[in-house]
Amino acid sequence: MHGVRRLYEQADFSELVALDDIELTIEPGTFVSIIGPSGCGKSTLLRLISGQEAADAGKITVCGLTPREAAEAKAFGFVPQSPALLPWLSVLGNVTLPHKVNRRGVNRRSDPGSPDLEAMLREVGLGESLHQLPAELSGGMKQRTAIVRAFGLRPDVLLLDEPFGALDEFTREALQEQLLELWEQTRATVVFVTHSISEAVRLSDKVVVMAPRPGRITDVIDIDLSRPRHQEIITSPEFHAYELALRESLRDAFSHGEVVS
Amino acid sequence: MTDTQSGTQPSPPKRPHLVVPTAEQLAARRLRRRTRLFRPAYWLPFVLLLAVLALGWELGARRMPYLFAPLGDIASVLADDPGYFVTNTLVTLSEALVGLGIGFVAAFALAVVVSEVGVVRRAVMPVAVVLSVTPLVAIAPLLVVALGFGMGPKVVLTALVCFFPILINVATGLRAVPAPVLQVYRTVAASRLEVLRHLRVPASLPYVFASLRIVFPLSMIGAVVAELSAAGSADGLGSVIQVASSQNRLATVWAAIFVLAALGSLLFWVVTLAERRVLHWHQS
Repeated sequence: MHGVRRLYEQADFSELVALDDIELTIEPGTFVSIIGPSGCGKSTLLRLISGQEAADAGKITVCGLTPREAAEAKAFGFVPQSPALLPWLSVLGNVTLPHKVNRRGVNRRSDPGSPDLEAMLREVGLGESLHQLPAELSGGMKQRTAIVRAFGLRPDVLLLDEPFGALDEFTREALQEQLLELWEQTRATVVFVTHSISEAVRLSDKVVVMAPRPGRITDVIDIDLSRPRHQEIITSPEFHAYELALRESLRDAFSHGEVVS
Repeated sequence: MTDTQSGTQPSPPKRPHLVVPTAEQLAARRLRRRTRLFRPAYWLPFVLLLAVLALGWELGARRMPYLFAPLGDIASVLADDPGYFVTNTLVTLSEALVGLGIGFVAAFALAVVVSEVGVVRRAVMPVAVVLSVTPLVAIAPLLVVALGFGMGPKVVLTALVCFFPILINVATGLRAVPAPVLQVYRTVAASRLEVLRHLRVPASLPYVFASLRIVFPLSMIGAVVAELSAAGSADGLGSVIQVASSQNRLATVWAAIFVLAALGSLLFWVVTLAERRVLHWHQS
């Protein structure tokens, strides 16, 4: 497994340069957040990595494969902003369905062991809701289901597109904790798109700061906080220092955007 | 989901916020649900309206004897020869259902093609929209000329009348899968067939039932209109109406219409029941 490496690209939407000259290497097994103002191409970046859109220029490599090949090999787990559950399937059914599709992909993977999805659901506190329908769940429970759906695939690369954006503060913190626990177990490479500075610092090994028009990377900040990171870390001075640094860097990203437009 | 159900779960250990009803309370609640239909507040308004309508009808029958037949006469026509009405009802019903079945299968198949192939969609959908608002029953006489007096024109007309509403609804339903859901399953490289089977077809079911609610009554209209256009040559409630009205047997005409109304209600009820069974996950 190699990193995700991509050089220079433009996703054309009526000549709008959504992403330009992106140069990024993500070490395998690290947790990387992408942060930046709206319209800086964060989501586009995820779509390119997962092979749903092709780059107009440049090259992306995921574990030595093209994004399309990596998707065929079921290397990805994806958590969108909305839970995107199927309303006619139970929690367990929703988590199981990705395993049922594209079975060839699993055979191509090195470790064919299928994880115990019920146990994973119990672990995140959905043990009593296994057979409930999404309509009977709260927003946090739905998003938890969506996260287990992605983790349950044992993906090499986990892509999360503002997964906690629509949740309240308490739920958000509880889910961050659970996300970290699941990640400690699997150690997948995580690409996490977020709007929240503290969320980025709390979770990541590395934070990528992006600026819009054209979408580009303006800064990469390494977060050197020890793991496991518990709730208390938020109040530590180091955490604060990182938050400030990130805020500073984001301000630059914003002003860059203004100058260009 | 009924909220009465949540209290019946066996022995919740530590839930001070839940008031668990006793067995007697539950039994009483269930009895109340079951006897709901017998309470006057439930059925009285409906029965009153029926009585007023019946009274109006009888008055109408006195004033306009060429339009209305007295309810007593209608009832006695039905009672005198129930076999006659049963036979003709079965003929009409089978024409309607066979036509509906053919129309449904064809429309669903085309809807799948339309939802998967953009070129076909852009070609077919505008035509489908125009034809779905065209009163296709108007071609009934032509179909009789072309296809004769048998089942043929009735089934074809019914299938045609049902085809376009189903096509439009199902084609919309198959594309009603939210974008994030598609993205989740595309990142695991689900094939188009898998997306169709696991995502699109289930997502289209509410639309399928919406179209069935439209199309079941339409199928009856199609069958009856086709029978009216080829009356006297075959069985069916449409023929009964046509023949009886030409002989001025008003009671028979109305009896057949009442049977059609009952049949339509029955079909509608069946669709609603099936919908509740299949779409328990859908809030409607």
